[in-house]
Amino acid sequence: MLTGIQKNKRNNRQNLFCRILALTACIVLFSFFAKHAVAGEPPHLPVEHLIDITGDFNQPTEVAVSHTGNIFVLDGANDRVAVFNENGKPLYQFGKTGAMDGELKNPVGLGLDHRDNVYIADTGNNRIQVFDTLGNFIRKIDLTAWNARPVEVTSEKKTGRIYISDAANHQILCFNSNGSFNAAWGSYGKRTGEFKFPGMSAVDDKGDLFVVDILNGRIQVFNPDGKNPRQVGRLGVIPGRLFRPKGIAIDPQSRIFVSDSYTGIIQVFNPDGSLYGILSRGDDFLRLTTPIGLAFDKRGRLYVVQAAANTISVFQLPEKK
Amino acid sequence: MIKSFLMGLFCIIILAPPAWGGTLKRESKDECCICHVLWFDSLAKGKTSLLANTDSPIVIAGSAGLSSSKDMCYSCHEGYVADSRNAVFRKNKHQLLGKVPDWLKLPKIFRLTKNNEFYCGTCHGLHDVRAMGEVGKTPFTRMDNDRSQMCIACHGDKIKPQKYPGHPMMKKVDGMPTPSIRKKGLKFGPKGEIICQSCHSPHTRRAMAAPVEDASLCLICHENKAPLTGTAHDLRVTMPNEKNIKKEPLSKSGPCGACHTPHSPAGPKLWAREFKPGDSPSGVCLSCHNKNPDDKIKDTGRYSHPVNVEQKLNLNRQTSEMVAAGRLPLFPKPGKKQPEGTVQCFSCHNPHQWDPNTPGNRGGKDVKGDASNSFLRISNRGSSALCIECHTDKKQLLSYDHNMQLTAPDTKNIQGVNVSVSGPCGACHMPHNAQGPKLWARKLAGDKELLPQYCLGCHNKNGAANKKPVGGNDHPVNVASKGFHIASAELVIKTLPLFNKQGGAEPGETIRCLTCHDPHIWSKSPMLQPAGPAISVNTADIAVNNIEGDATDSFLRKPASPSPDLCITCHKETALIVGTDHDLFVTAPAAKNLAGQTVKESGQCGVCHAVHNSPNKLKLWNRKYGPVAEKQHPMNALCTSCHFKDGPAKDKIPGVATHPEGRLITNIMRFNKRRKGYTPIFDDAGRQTNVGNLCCSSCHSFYKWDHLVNKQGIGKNVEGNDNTSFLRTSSDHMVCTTCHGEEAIRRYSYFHSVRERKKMKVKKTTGYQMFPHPASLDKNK
Repeated sequence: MLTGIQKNKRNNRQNLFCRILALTACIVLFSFFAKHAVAGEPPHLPVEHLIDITGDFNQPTEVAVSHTGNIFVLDGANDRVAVFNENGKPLYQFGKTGAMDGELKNPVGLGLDHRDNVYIADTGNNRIQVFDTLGNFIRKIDLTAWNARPVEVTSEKKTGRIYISDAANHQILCFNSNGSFNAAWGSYGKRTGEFKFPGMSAVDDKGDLFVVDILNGRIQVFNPDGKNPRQVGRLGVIPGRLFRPKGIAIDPQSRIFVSDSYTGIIQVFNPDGSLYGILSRGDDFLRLTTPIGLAFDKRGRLYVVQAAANTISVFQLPEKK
Repeated sequence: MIKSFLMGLFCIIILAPPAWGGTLKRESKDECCICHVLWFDSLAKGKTSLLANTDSPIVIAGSAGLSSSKDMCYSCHEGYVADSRNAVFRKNKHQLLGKVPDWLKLPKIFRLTKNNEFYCGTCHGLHDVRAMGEVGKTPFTRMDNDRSQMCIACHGDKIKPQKYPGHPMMKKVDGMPTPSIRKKGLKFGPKGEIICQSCHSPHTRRAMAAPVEDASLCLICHENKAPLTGTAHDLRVTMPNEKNIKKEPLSKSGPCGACHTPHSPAGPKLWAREFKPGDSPSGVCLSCHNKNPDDKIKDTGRYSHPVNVEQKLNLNRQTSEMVAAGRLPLFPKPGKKQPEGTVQCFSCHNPHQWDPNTPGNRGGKDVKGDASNSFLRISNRGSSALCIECHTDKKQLLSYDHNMQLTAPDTKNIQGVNVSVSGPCGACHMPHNAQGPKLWARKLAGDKELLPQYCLGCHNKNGAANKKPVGGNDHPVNVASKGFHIASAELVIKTLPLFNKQGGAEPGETIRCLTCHDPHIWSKSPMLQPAGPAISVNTADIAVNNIEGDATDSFLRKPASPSPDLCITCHKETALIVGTDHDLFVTAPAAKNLAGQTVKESGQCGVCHAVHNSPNKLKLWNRKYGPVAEKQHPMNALCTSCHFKDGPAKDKIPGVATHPEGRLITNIMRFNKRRKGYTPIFDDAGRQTNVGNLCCSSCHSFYKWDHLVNKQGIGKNVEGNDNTSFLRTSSDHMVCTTCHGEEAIRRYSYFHSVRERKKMKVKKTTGYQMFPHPASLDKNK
């Protein structure tokens, strides 16, 4: 038989256990709610729609703006680059279907260097081709040896380095300005530094490389040596998360603009990776038809490629608060 | 206490399931959310969504969900993850979106959107892995499709038996597919059989595996048809507004589809143009080439090479090896190339290649073809190799005078081309749009009988064969064969044909140039006959000889030497001359006629008669007339050309004298050849008459040595008697008895036999005066 003291001790232990259990449950509950707390409405960033550029495109993917304000549109399914002036008036075009020098096969990516030379990820031909600003062929980087599928090429303006997104091997190929191979970063996976289909990229003023990691739903940021990767955003369909990130552009304030081709919106992140806001029009988010390529001109106007709409839309952004 | 415990346990169980590892791991759930966007936990908790479309997260059975919507698929397939921009999302693709057509009974396994429309998930389900290839390259089809099962589930009508079979399907074609074809991306069944995906790819423009507008697709397998593009048979070049029987313009059908359609063709050969029931296989060609009779180039014309006929016996039949080697094929009704079959347009023509020797030569819209191209299977230029391929028996022509490359290289046929371009056959014949029968390619006067013009068009003083003109003293033509013995059908076919006015060979008709001559065969000598089936004709192998002919060749259907076979076919009785004294092989083999020919060269008949251009009209005599006394019958000059004192028959001259002139004789009872005692009387032109003067030929037949037997000579020069000596008949029935009665035999003996004459004491009788023959008198002295 238990004495009363013994019973009290046992009851006290049981109470303690239950209290600890309840406390644990409360902690879990708190953590859960803290984790899943309903966020407030994200900041809307109203934009002003300026013009639409249509040029008999067939699902264009990328746009870039030269120092002179000319707009280069990669009309990839038509195997050409169409060039417009800053008012959207067609100037000239170059490229045609084929595998010879100066010819293209289903190109996806486009970039300009500091001299406004045009770099094209000639995806179907597994190579990078470089043209002058008028479309004259200059040189090419053959990626057949890497068995690569180049979908993006970005030229770092200070060093002239060339970053190529290889969607076949889920890596970034880095070439020197003279076309010699420098390094390759990444492999297939979801850990930091790994990719699931790297896509468009951009380089900020510090020389950091921002790469869209499409199916991981994030932006990965590398220093110029490809080290110390960090990420912006994560997979999801709520503000601050990315579902099908495609286009990326960095404005003079180092804000990171990311387009989502499925949700149709463009989110803006601070340099530290926090959400700055979402481009909006009226009371709703600015919803575009398959927004992919993004680019800024020197006047701060944002160019957005709407692939399925075969349109390049130009927006004026609000001043930073 | 218990209450606190239960509450804590409840909170832990309910609120922290992920920590305990639920049914789906976090990592795998992320993978699902890549498409199943509505499965994100954050949405379930009602957070602000970036999605515009918040459709039901639950897939409704038989309908589309967001996970397989077009936008979801495109969010990866726009180039960065995969590139289906041209394959799926461009215009003219397979029916990706849109209503289900009324004719289509869609099996239940294929899903539609709520609006009863196609979408990606109609055919694809990521969880229905029906791999045609390795995982990762699978199209995730809802059914196995390695033998087009999924395609046929909807498009089963494409493989149903039709009146005219369509493109081979579900069959293995010998030699197919080649590695190069596979390399170009065409798919085949597990055993290499042709399946729907061999030509179709559902996500390309118009669902074709390669463009058809420029024939790219067809040429992957039918690469030997590539030379068609750019030719006149590429209708984009010549008839750009033309449409096929399915009303498809060329911009859609492409050059191949203009004439062929793989499904539900209108005729054989996958024909995609008009084809009338009952037409021969050549009907596919004639559906275009007989449309405009005024087009003398593109239309076959009234006179054209026969098609849909079997090769005649005298033509060279094609062997299997020749057909396999791509030589001129024949076509039985199903339309396949076989050794046994009928001649069709495509026996000679390859409609897919303009120039048989230079595939790169495409001709073009305004290029006029010739014998070296014109879609011929074998170039006919120079050697007429294509014609000779079947007409082997005409091959001799290439080597002799009727090859105008040798004798008249500058003359042109009606097309205005000379023989170097047209080829030897083309100098006289055109397979299409000919001027007349015999596919005649030279000028014909339409208001005149055509048949003589075939030969006389050249063989006249101004013609291409002006060195061999006819029209002087020649063997008669255009005369009935009655009275001769050549009217049997068998003889007409096998030996010397007779011709009606239309040019057709027919028994009982008239003698023409072509009766004796075969213009294609220089000589019937077995030495010159081709042995066996024809092989390719190489111009370099042909020895061209412009030689002077004689009675053994000269394009004669039968040789006239050393046996007079040609002449005796009609002049049957003259065959008896062989071996007699009048056969100069026996008596004067070295003697020459006026053409300088010995009997070997001229034949037994030709040594005395010239069939063409005889220097003497009388009996086309080919020897120098012999001496005849004044007022003697001119016919005697034929005999005395040999039978005179310096002639080859100087031992056989009349003994004393010839019958006196000026004594008209009536020969009514003896003008019939078949009657006994036939003793013809001739006029000065050599024609038989009933009243006239006797001549040598009245009593002598020249070819029948013994009138009592129809027998050729023994080949020796023998002495005759009153039954032989070429006498026509026994003396008591001769015409002499009409005037001389029983004395006739004595008179004949007196004048023809020295021995008999010496026995006789001739009385001078009233009414008759005998003049001794000068030669006989000399001899008797």
